[in-house]
Amino acid sequence: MSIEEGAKFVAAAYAVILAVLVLYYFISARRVNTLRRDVAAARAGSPAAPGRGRRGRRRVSRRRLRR
Amino acid sequence: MKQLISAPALFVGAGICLVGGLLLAFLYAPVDASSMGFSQKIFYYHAPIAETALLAFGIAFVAAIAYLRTQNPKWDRLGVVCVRLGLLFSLLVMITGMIWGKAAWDAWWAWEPRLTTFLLVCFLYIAYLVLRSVVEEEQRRATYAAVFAIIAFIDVPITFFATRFLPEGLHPVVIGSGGSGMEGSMLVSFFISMLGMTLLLVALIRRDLAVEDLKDRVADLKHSIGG
Repeated sequence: MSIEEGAKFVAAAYAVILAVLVLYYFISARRVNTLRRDVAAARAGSPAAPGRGRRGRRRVSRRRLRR
Repeated sequence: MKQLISAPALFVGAGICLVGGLLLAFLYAPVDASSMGFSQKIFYYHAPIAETALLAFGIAFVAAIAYLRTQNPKWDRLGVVCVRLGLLFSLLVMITGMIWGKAAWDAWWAWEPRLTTFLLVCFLYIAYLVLRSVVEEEQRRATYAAVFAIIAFIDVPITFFATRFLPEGLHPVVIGSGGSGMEGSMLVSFFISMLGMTLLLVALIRRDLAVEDLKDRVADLKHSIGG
């Protein structure tokens, strides 16, 4: 097998390793951020807050409250 | 002990070793003289990833025994984290192995002892995760999972020693009783990559344990707010 041919296989293998590890890192980092937000929201004392995501407690408009 | 080496330091150490190992593999180690030629360079990450996957399953085995002895949930958490990471590394081994197989044997897959037993390891640990997902009660889930992890581990040494017990397979013995058959520069590159992968595994275990800890805290807080 020539070096050029071998290099294609080697590049493919290392690209897969890099892609999978980077993907795992970002998925893991996203999970950590979501959980940290959930902890902060739960500590703030809102019963519905955990799991709701970035905004935490839902805001209710004044018009809706008047009804 | 937990704070002896921080997770970022481990990630940095792993990165340095992995990049160093890769540079040595391409710039220092010679091109393999056999028919594999340049494609043999896949070996410098493929083999360490495989060893690391088996190491992760080994830690899960130890954690399972520790859980059954102590009933402490921290061992259950360590077990599930190691199995997940072991499967991640196994996925990488399978893909890189198939690419290397195509280059070396002109076949994506061969039913030879090492590949077949490794595939069986993957299926067993996927079954471990499935088992965990179907049992709802926490303590029972941890006990069943620990017992299953001990049983599943039986296939790990079989996979490791498959090339030694059944030498007619396609996989070579990397380091056997008669040495490695590799040049010194190849061995240096291999061991540095191996160290890098092991550090990466330890760093990922620590990170994932922290995630599991956060999950528990969220569940506790939800429970305390709800109750």
